[in-house]
Amino acid sequence: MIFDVSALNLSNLIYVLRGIFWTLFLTFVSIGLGLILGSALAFGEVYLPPPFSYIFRIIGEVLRGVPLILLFLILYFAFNLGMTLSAILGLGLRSASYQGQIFRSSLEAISAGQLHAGLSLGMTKFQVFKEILVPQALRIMIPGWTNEFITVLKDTSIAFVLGVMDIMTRADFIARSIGRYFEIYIFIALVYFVLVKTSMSILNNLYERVRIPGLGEKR
Amino acid sequence: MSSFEIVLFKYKDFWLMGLKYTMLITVLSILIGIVLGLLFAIMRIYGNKFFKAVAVSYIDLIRGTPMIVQLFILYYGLGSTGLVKFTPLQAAIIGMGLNSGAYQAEYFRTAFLAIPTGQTEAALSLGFTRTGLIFNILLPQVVRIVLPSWTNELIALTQYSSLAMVLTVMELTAVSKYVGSKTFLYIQAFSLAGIIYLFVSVVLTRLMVYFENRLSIPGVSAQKLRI
Amino acid sequence: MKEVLRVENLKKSYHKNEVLKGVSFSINEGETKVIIGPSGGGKSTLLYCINYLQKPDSGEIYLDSELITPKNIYEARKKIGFVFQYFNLFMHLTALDNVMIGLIKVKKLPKDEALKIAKESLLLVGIKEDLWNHYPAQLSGGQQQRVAIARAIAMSPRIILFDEPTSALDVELIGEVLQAMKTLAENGMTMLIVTHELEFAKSVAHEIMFLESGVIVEKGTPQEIIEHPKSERLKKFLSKIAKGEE
Ligand SMILES: Nc1ncnc2c1ncn2[C@@H]1O[C@H](COP(=O)(O)OP(=O)(O)OP(=O)(O)O)[C@@H](O)[C@H]1O
Ligand SMILES: [Mg+2]
Repeated sequence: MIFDVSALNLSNLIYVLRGIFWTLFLTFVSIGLGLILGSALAFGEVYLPPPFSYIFRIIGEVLRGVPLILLFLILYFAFNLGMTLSAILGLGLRSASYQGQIFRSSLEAISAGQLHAGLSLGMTKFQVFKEILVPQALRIMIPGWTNEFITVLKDTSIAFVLGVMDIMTRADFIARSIGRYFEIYIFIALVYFVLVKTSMSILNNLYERVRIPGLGEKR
Repeated sequence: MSSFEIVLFKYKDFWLMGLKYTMLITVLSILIGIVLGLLFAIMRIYGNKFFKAVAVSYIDLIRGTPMIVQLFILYYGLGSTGLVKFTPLQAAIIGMGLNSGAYQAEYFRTAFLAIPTGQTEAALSLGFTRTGLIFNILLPQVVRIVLPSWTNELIALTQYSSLAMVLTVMELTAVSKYVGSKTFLYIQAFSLAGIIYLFVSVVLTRLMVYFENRLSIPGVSAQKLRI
Repeated sequence: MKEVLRVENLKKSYHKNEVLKGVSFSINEGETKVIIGPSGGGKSTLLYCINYLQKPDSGEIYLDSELITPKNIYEARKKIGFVFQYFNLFMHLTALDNVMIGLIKVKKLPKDEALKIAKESLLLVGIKEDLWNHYPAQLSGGQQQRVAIARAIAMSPRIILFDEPTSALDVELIGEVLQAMKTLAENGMTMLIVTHELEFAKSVAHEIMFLESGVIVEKGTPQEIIEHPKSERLKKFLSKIAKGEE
């Protein structure tokens, strides 16, 4: 039989689905880490004086230039970090390099004129940052950030090479132990698909709610 | 010999093999991706309801699931059903090609839609058929518009080709892990792999920029059309 | 008459490019002065230096006889309105909020008071209630610039600086902005305006200054400057404007 539905019995499904915790945990922690490190990276690149700004830029380029698996392996074998930590750091560092870019281009999309206008009203630099830059940058970021979220969510599956017990690893276990690969992998494909679509619609919804006409569009 | 030299020279043939597989997977899968991407984009824009639905579902399903799962379905999944039995290398190339096709379909679609509709009207008024319009008028422009996204796609595929490692293909990352485990010089082995990846990215980017310049037509570019 | 703004021997260079080479003038309460001059002559730089959006290299600027320094610049800016060539409205705020934000965040007024002032300011420049909740991207250029003017006047500044407020607008939208500025002039607002709208300058300006290559080459009443220019450079400039080249 090509597709044996009985392979997808309740206990197998539950075993796999329990991995959702790790899949989501890895996603959220890495995205959060990437957000913090990414904004640091962006600020370093934009505001630090030349020798330092280059260093930040090179860090970003390197993180974007090597495969995620290689990052995992380096953290795990070369730095002897545990598998969970390697997974989080690998996903988080890489995401930082992308979120940094998203953050930077959002800031750049805000015209210098608006900052001048804020200052000309008598706002302090901090007020300009808080009242004008941040509320706009955060909104402009959301679409790019949604893509990044989805990428990280899908790439958590690569932590499989480290053995983190996410849905991917659990699916692989079950598939091997019952000898039914096709059914199990199709099933987790669906699980990922549902996770991706759900997060997408939540994030798009959020964007629609805070979206402001014309914001971030070029003149 | 320094530890770095041991890693490099003693395992030179392994590194060359790794590089060969990495490049082979990347180049073949992007080519498959280009063909599929174009096909799905045209289906999605110009097709009837049925073709549109097929294209949309394909693009959605592929982009909504991780590549490693796709590779596993193709290799272990299909293999175990006895329908088709791919070698690991074939599975990697086909799987990544199918994956790339979905992403490239979106690049192509954006490019098609970026071309002002006036040109379509002009071509139809000259008596062009729809196929003639697509291949003679639109495609030459579309290719130039998507060129920059191929650079990104190439680099992304170079990195994702490391997933072939879990299908036991001895590409670069697999080689670096092998060399690391043989010599216990993990840092050196992984760094070397990293350097090769960065080098490949730089070379590919340069090459693509060269093509972009060679093929460029004033006014027909992603930048000019603001996409 | 009370002096509002005095600029003395203001100098500013960008690297080796000396853009302002010692500019001096003053403006009294209720006066409108217009600056004209060729592109690159330093008009924008002069205005930006007055409220330290660009830091002057040397010279003094007095607002109500008080020297402006980096220390009191935030206080000074509250009293100096600025209207930009490209409007520079805050893109994430509605027209009303654009006018209110300075009142609330800078002047720390309570919300209801800010709202009242904002509405009055918008009405004064002819922005009616139906547009108050529009975002900048949903307004025409002329409407945006009038909201920007309202944003400036809501702060009850001592003086407003205008940097070519109509040069980014389509011809048919220029009139409404000039009209709003005329209303301000009639209400006794003190204004320093960079503009090439000579008809407008004639009707509102107490004095016109011709700024070229960083120096005020000539100044006088609109009559003197426009009808009877003395220097060759001014004559040439005026004929260029007449041909629509500046
Ligand atoms: N931030 C800057 N950095 C370097 N040079 C500048 C800067 N701003 C202006 N300049 C230079 O200073 C000179 C005067 O510029 P400014 O914008 O003040 O002229 P302007 O009279 O306002 O001209 P326009 O009518 O075109 O607005 C120009 O040569 C310009 O290139
Ligand atoms: Mg100017």
